[in-house]
Amino acid sequence: MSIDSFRLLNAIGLVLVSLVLFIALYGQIAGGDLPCPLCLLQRVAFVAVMYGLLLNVVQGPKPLHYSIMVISALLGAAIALRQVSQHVIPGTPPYGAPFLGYHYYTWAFIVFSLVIFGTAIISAFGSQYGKGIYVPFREQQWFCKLVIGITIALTLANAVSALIECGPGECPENPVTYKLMHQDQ
Amino acid sequence: MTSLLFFLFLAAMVLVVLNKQSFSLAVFGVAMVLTVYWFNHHMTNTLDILL
Repeated sequence: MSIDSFRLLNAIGLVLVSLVLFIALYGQIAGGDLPCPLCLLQRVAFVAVMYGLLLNVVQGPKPLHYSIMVISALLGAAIALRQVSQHVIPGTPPYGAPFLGYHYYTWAFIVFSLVIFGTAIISAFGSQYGKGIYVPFREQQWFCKLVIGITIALTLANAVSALIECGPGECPENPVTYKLMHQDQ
Repeated sequence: MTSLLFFLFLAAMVLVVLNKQSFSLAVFGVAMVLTVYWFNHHMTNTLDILL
């Protein structure tokens, strides 16, 4: 497999992680499920994983980039596990609506674990490592251009959403309204 | 604060696309340190599962 094949695989990985963030944003906007502080930190960890994937797509695959993905996923798994622990005792109310049978924080732990497993597999292929070749945006394949654009747009959307929900300070533990839209109340 | 984390990662991503890799990695490092700090800040309540 060529280096470009691995770039493409990483771009597909970006699509999959973007899908997670898109589902979370859709649930927030369409379902009114505002994310709690730990929920937002899990989204931050997904963005950090996307950063590692983006590095592989733009700069070419390198062990450092895969390490960034693993460290980000480990952090994300720790945050998700913390939230699972807060709601695991029988009778303790969960946070948010379930999605396909599990709550978002449980799905986050599963996805972060899959990221770690997948990174361990793909990083083992030594043929992808060579002299790092930066590919400018205008010279990327159309699919990679699309994915890079979606990645940056989703990160920006999450940043703006967090700012509207929490303002510049701390997010409320159980948010029900967007702080910047209800400042007079 | 959480929005700051997103904006820092966004800046790191844009710097990657602009081929400023060293600067991008530095911004990413700062963002990760702040993320860990903010995670620690939110781990304040005692878990019910503790015996």
